[in-house]
Amino acid sequence: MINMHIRGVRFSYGEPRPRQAAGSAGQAGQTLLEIPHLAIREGTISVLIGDNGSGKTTLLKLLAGLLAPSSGTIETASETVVLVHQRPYLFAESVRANVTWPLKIRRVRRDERRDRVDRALEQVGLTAFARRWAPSLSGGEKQRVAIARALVLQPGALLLDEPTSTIDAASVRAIETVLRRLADGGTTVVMSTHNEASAYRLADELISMAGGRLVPLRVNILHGSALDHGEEHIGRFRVTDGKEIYCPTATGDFTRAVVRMEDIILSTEEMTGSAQNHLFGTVRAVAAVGDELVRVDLDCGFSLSALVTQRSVEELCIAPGMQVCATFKASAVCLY
Amino acid sequence: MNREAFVEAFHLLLSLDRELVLITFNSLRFALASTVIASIIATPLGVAIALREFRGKRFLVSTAHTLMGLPTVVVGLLVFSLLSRSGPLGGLGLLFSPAAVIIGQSVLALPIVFSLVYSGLSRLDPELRETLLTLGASPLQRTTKIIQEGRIAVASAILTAFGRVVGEVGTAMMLGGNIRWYTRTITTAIALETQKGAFALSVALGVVLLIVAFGVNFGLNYLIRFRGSVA
Repeated sequence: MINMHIRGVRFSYGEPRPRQAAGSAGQAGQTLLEIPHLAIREGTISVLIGDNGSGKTTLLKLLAGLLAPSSGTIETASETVVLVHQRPYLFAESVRANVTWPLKIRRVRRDERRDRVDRALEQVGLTAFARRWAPSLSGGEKQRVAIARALVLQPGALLLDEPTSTIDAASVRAIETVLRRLADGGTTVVMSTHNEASAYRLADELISMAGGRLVPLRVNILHGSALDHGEEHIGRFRVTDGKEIYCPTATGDFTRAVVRMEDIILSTEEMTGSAQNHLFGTVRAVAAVGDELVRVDLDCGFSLSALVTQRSVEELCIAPGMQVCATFKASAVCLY
Repeated sequence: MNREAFVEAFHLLLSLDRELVLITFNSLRFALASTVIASIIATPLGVAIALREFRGKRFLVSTAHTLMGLPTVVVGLLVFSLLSRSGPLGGLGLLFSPAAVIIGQSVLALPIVFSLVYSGLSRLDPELRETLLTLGASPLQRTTKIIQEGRIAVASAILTAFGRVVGEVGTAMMLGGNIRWYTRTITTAIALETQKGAFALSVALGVVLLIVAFGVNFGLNYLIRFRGSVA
């Protein structure tokens, strides 16, 4: 089910607003964001990736209703949508008071308030911090308080701007766990991040942005699990659909294998060489990406896409329905 | 002025001389009343303008900032011309009454409270406003919370205004007339009693005024140094 639906949205500042910085300084009339279509499914984690100024924050603020699109529509199925800022503002009072406030202004009964606040603090693992003075907490703790302050409203959609950018690795994992659990419970989560590892681990849907637009992803993200490599000098990763690929040996609880589309070589017959992964598949689609590159989508038991030159496509006569071999090195696979 | 004057002043202070106490009480009463009136008007105004963007805002704010240094005698003259028998509000018969002093001092305190509340609140994190919006607060709830978050700035604005009016002499003199037992304040008493040779009372009142001024500044410093960092 779709939770948020963006249609033909453009955003630009009508007038320069000095105090309202939305990621980058707004210049009058300049289009900061243009998204023809984007659908975000309910109960999933969508991760926005892109450089500074790519429009991630603006998109989140539009989804949160803090900014209004200059044109187009944004439909949200959830009644409550809360945005957690990159450096959240905590009120100058205790952690508990911070988390209680959204309920207080809604005149929620005192005992129910207490229960919901307790639950929210427990969800983010801050039960012991309830009486601490919020502004004195560390970055990661503040982030978690802000998430609890949002969760207490039981939002249908939770939006987070770079929730892991300013905090230590342990807090990153803690926040990731919280978000995963939320999404599994039906909350729609949309977050932006610079942290690739975090993005690959968490994302059900990866949304890549550049210059205020959505840009196609240039990596294959395979869901599955890394197998114990034992005595072997090469690792294996089992994709959810059953097939296995070779990857670097690594120990850990990896659930994502990422292969850049440029790293995949297509051939009509199996190539001999040092590359370990040879997968035969059927061409599903061929689509031009820019002037010289072509994206070839394959079905080799799971979906895999390769980015090759226009010239290669012509020489190999690649067309939908054709059988090709996809070759890539085990070392081209990154595990997350 | 001689040594005896200081001894007598000390005596007046220790014995809580009736006139000394009443003059002090008047001063504090007028300053408190005018600060409260000015705060009631200027705080919401400062908040409202800190939270909005509109044409002419810069002009308004810099005008208010300039008015912070308004000469007290000019305010005295202005209010005097309104309240004097021939003035538009002359019929009220307020001139040379506590009310007149309070009106004058309120005018003096208004731009101070406004400017300091405004600048304090506009220095708050711009993300506060968005945080309140995304948590679903109504306009009234947002305003209340912003004042609460800027409470240090608001408190220092009010204290600063109090400090200014309690120590001013121009409006109190022109509008109150230094009437004994009625509108005489610490400052008008010092200004006029000294000329009449009543040094002891002047010295004692001077000490009281210093204590009040130090108290206000101490309070301000406390707010800024110990609570300001968490505001």
